[in-house]
Amino acid sequence: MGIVPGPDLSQAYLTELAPVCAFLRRLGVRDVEDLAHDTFVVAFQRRHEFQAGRELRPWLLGIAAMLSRGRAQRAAARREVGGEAPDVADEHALPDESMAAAQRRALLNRALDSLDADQRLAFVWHDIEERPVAELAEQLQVPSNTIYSRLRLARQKVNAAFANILAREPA
Amino acid sequence: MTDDLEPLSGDVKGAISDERAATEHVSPALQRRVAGSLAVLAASSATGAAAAGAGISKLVIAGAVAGVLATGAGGAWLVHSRMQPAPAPPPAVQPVAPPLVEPEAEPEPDEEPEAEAPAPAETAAPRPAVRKHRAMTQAERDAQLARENALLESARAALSAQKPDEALAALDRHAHQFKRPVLKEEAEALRIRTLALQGKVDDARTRLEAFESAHPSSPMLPALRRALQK
Repeated sequence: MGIVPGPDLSQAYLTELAPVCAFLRRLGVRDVEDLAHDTFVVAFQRRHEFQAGRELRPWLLGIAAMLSRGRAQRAAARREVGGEAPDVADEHALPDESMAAAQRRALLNRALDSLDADQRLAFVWHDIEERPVAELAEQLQVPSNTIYSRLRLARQKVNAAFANILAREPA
Repeated sequence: MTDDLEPLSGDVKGAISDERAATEHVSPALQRRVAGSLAVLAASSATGAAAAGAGISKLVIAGAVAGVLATGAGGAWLVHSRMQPAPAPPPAVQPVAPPLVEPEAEPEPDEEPEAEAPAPAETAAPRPAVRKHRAMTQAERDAQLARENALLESARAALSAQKPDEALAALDRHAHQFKRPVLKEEAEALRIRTLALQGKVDDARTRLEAFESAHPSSPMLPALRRALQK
């Protein structure tokens, strides 16, 4: 077998699969497993583009983000013609998680549902994944200002949605 | 720039902290699925790269895939995958370039593979599809994925070696053999890069515009745009 350039995904998936799944779940993707699988397949196809020395995870998350956007656009197109129902985020508690933490995460999920797909991606990327705005801007090939604008709106909406939910349903 | 961002409330920060601390549980089935697909891709890539420029041996590829599948790694494939007709031999005459990319279609039920009847290379018209639907088995998906990947890998190798004619020949074989390719997006991206390398910039741009319409969120778009800016 010849030398395959790019990251060794056959090993990397062992550590990167879970973060990719978590990222997709935070984006509100319904078919997390399918998209996570597709992320690694696309990454394999594009492995020649991976720049040695750079972090693998943001590169994978960027691919996952692009795939989820495409999926969301197709789902929206289906809904416009009376197709399937909107995606519903999974709010079940993860195993070994305290009820209180699970409830807070469920609240966050509901707040994230108030965002559109672009705002949610900006928020998840920067405020949850703690990745730089410029990195997402590079992945999406848009100006950083565009991402900041989405992030600004996202923060306002998440703060407001969280406050509203807590006012109605005090923790 | 971050200065004018509204700060997150304490409640939101706490929830984000919980979210980050939560352990993501990945099912063993997904792990096996990803591992299987990567193994199949790696095996077919090695075979495809070795065969670049020297024609593709279906037997060799089939052997490589069988070896991977025999490990029990298993695999699955993209949700848009469909069953393909049996591969036809490479065309003896200059093949007809495939049409511009079509808009992303919704997944359809898999189709029964057609009989082993090689299509005449001169006829570009598609053969009528058999409308007997059945689910594609995992082995069939993996085998198709491997065959497609081997062809695209040989195209990629030729492209890296600055041999666009060889790359185009591999892409034409891919287009000829797979009427509903799983790796359609990747094949079209390679074709655009190949056209650009050949200096057919107008053709490449036309196809890129069609690609952008069909796959507006494709992860390959940024690299393609960069390739055409050179």
